[in-house]
Amino acid sequence: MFNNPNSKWFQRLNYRFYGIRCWLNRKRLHNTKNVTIISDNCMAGFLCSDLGLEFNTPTLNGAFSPSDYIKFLSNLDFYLSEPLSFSTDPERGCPIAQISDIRYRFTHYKSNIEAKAVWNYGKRHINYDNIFFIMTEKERCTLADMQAFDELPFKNKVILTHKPYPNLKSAHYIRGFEQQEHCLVTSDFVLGQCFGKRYYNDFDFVKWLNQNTPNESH
Amino acid sequence: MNHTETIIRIFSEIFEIPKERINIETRRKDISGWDSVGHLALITSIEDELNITIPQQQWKNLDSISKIVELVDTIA
Repeated sequence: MFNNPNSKWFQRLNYRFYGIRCWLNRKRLHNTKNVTIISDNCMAGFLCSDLGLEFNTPTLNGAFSPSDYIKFLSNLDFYLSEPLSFSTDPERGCPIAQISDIRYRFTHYKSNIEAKAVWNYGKRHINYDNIFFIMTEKERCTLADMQAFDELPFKNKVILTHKPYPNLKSAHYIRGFEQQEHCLVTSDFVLGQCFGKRYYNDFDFVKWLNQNTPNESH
Repeated sequence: MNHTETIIRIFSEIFEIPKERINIETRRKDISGWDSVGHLALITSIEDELNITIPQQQWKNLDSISKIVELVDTIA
């Protein structure tokens, strides 16, 4: 029953315990004020929702390709100052924004107006004194991409990977994707359990966020 | 000044729902796309359009068009 992600009980029990997991994590979290989480997929949105953090990030519920994400982070100020030029994702029907020479897919958005409003809000509320960066080893993510991320001059960064990479300082191995060539959807509930554990919960995000507080970052 | 029409227009544009399907009685639970991210987009778009600031502590309470209109009418 708990190996079938479509099972009613798998979903029902996991959502029930997921609520408790989030509640416990919110209790553990001390770094709650003006936190910015930047990610190349929906992780920023999931963490903000799980932990009750404000949406102080432009990268909410969308996705960059790995190479575009590296470009974006390598020249953050430039890309954040560029206008968004919208088109529609032919497969998903969601907005895609061209930002200079990179693209960001607003995966879970209904309209360009909604996407632009959330991007601009997040952009205005970035807190560079309390900022965290997440990359996921997803499809088309190469070792070179992860190495480039690893070398970015940011203090708080992590790469969620499908296997151990001892040579990458920021890598954290997420168990459960060993048979794959990359991580699948890390926000899915882990198969074979019903305690509300998502794959990304393999990394202790609360501990990671608590390591930085605005007072310590200067 | 009553801002019902402006707010319904912004709502319609953000959630891509025809204006005819939205009215002052529309509530958050009636619109599937009106999630936390959609709510953020809605409130910030209203702020930008009307050049006002809606205090963040009020955001959670704004779960219907009527409540948004009522608050905006007192601010703008």
